Amino acid sequence: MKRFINSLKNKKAARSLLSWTGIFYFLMMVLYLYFILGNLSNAPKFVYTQF
Amino acid sequence: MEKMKAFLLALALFLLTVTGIHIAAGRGVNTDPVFYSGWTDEAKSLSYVGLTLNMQTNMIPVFGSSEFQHGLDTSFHPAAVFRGSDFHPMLIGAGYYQSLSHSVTLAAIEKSLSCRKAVLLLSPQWFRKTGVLPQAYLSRFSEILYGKMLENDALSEKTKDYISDRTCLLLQKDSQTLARAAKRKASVDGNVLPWYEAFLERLWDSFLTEKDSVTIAFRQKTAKTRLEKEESARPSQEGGQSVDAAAGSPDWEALKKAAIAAGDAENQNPFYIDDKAYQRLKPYLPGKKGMNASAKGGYQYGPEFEDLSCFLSVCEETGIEPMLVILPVNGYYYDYTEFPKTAREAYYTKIRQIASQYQVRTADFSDQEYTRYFFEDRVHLGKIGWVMVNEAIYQFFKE
Repeated sequence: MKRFINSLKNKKAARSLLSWTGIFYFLMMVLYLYFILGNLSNAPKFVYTQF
Repeated sequence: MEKMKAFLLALALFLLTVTGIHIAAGRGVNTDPVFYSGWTDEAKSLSYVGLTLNMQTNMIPVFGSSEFQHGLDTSFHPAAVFRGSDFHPMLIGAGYYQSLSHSVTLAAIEKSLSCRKAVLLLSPQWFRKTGVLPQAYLSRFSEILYGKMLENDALSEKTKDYISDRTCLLLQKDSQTLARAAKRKASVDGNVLPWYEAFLERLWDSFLTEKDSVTIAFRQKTAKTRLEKEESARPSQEGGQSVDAAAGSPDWEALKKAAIAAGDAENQNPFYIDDKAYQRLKPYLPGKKGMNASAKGGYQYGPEFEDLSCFLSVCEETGIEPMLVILPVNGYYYDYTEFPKTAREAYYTKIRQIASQYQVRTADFSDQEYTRYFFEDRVHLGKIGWVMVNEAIYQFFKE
């Protein structure tokens, strides 16, 4: 933990770490939203028609 | 090493976010049960979490189909009529929901019903020779509801087998869902799954429950905000206040008068449907003249009758008292297409026979084929139609 905090103090390294963290976080959220809100059925789309 | 650190940090943040969403969604599912009961979004009827958590003691499920999405901008739709009343029908269904989907839903949610009653609005158009179309059934299929139906111990093996067989037949276009549905049934039938498959199944169920909860909370919040905005912008509707504040019951006579007055005020047409619907239909009318003259056996054969019997079996086995609402066809329009009156009568008789066989109550509107303004368009309930059906549902709840 101490080493982790020390590494954050190093500005250049911290910037890079934060960039990578942001990228990983973004990808995880995209995947999460895709699965949680998307239609996962592989059936052909049903077109609603009036009687 | 740096990327590993970043990944772990991102994972921690991600888990924190997901936990936050989980808590917020859990709280957001049942913030307003009255709104939920009258909400007609298609996603609502697929949500086990939403339906069970919002079911209150003064609610009964009312199963139907596309009619729920018609008349929403009038004071005669159930969502408007029962607002402020002492009763709220939990509207379940949208276009192409039919008896089989409703059997699954009722069996899945029946334990959440404190008032052991249910209403099924029967559209004659369900009873075409084909029954429910496979792609339509698939689009209205909820894996969670299906799973909960199978877990319901009150249901007989025979009923579960019937639902399961029909479901597998109708899910052919979605091989993955079909495989999971078949596996669930096999699991209920006593097939022991290897530990890893059982674990994966539990994980999948947890994921589906989370998906259900987040989706329904999000859509409900969006719909409610939109409705509030629309209502604040809209002038007061025709019909005015419909609920007797002292009794908590809608004033049916006032609503009927308002419905007839609203119908009279519109441009008249030969089918006594809403002017907007008539204008949409008008260009196609020449092609519709006499188109159903040969439908002598119309609405009398097909798998929907078996599916209806299945729904009534679910009611019988779970101790739910059902009421079948026999909706009529639009007599003026059906005469225009020359759909035989004998076929219509035979259909109503067949439904009455099934009701009598299961000894269930009916609200029979088959004599309203020629009631003006009963329909909004060719097939969907309109002004006076909604008022009469709402009144029947209310009386059923009160008795």
